[in-house]
Amino acid sequence: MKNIYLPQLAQITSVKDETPDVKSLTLKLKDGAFAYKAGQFVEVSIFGMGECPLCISSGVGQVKDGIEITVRGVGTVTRALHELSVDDEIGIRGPFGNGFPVDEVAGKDILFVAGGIGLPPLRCLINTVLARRQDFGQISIVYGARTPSDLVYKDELKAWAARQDLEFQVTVDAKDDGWEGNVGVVTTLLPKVTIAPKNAVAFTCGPPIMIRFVIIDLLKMGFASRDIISTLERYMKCGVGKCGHCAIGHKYVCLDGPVFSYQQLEEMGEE
Amino acid sequence: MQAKLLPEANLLPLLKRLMAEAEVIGPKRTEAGDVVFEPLERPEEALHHDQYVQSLFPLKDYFFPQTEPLFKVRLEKGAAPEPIYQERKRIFFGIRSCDVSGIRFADRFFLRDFEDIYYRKKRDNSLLISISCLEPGPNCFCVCCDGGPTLKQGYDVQLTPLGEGYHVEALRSRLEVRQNPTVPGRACTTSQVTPLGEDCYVEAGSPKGEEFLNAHQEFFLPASQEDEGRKQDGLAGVDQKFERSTYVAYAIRKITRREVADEWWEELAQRCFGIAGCRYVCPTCTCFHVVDLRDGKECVRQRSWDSCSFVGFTRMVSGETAREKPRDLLRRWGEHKLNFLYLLRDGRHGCVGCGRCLTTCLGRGDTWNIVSRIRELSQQE
Repeated sequence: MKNIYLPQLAQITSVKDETPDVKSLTLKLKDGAFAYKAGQFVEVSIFGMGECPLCISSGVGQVKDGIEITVRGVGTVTRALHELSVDDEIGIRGPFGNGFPVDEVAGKDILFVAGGIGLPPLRCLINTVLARRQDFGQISIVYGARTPSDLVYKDELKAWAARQDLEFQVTVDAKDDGWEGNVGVVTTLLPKVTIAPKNAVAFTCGPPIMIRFVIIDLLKMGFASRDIISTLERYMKCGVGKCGHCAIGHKYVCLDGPVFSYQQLEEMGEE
Repeated sequence: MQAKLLPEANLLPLLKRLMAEAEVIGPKRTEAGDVVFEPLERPEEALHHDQYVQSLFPLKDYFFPQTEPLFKVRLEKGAAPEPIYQERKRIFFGIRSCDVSGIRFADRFFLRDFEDIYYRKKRDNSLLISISCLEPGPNCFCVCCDGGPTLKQGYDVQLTPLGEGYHVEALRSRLEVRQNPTVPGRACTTSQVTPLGEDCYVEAGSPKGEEFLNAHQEFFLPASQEDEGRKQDGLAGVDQKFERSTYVAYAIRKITRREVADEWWEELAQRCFGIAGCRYVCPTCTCFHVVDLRDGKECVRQRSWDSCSFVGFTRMVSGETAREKPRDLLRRWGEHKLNFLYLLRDGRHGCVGCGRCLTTCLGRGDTWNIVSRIRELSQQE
């Protein structure tokens, strides 16, 4: 009988500073790699400190025998994660959650709208999609952060900007001296997106307030509510539908989500 | 399996035997006068069925303890967590139908999708011997929720008291059987036979229950058709004795269709003190919190009961709280107990009608009050 609460050990193989308060850690799983889908999450343990849910940020197959997580140090566990270094060990349970629909959106144009620390879950999907680029139509990525230093995956953003087979836009709420790009919240970039909503699906992830405004604009642009797909953030303890914290009606964000279409969110009474 | 009869005289010898085989959890009265299910130290401690209706707490603490260690781990590199399991064999004697219904609901919840091994081990090591209620308590409304007073399924063994005094002919033949040493396993002596004692009609509701009856057959007699008739007669009038007897369907419909207005919940929520008493005494409430307890070089990860009535229950690290208005916290309770979607998912709706929330709640935010006040809405329609 499997014990769903028992973490397996994982070794930190690299640590990268993304922003002043965000780090990416790659993990080698001691019991061997597991299969996962973009949009799924893991429960990360530091024994003695606790456990917290974090999305897997690496594209499927991107990290050999493991995964990458991108963590903002805000809570007890995430701040403790920031103190760790290469070769340290942590506990991992998962992968949990439903993940993004990937095969279901093949053949469609895809718009990604991310804000701040909302990019990591989408980046897992973006890399998964780009790994089979020919299966999808036009691709557009829109990303915003508070300041230029809050942008995560800076090297990858440059690589996306250089690609000819996708449209990439980035903005910051407040610029600094070196910034020459767009200034303004992420929704200010949406009018410049060339994708036609008719045969497109939009994925959005970011702070709840951003998601609310993005959804309003996407609906105005003509996206159907079933074609707007987001991930819900909820306080959760177990990740497996038992602790009850993430329940909305009879659904559990950890089991039935965290990925939901806006249509589903409306049906669940979440806005 | 054919039903059995448990002569009252065999009850204490049976309990004595069970206590030699496992820990027996039975109904006891505390010095303060409360009824609790605790390990029996002597068979005589077990309350007779007419000495109690409802225990202070349901039995969930035995399967999903208020605090429960999940694993321990040494705080050093390479140390893997070691699970901590409780695998004591337990027999639960004299539990009420509503509590069996509550356990069945929790079974569906804990054992579906990702199976909870801690719950599974405790359930596998348990035997549920329930007893049908012939007299409801003042706050009972199981009859409105398919939670009792007697059960068609869910128990391992169900006892139904048959009332005092029975047919002389049947009595005589049974006395003969009891006194005949050649009949295998006749343990009781003539002096233990109480002709006017209260026998129980005994049914097995699971393979585990059948196995139990087979292994202890010397304590039971075959039940006759007449006994079954007496059982039915005894139960026939029970439903009418409930003070609270209207089925909860209307409230289920209104809540499931989200036809109960925010303002309605808001008004009721003003009466909620947010103490979570209802959640703690509810057999179907199963939310928990998890903490790591450090002790020197070791850490124990422990879960403990939590409650959706607490504002912090859904507070995220970002500072956002998914549910914080009193009305939403109360509605969450109403939804879990009465939304039809739980019936689709867990086989029944989340209220078994034990009435403990009603006993506990100071502000009358309990399920019964929700049900009856929603019913009042129907008169306004």
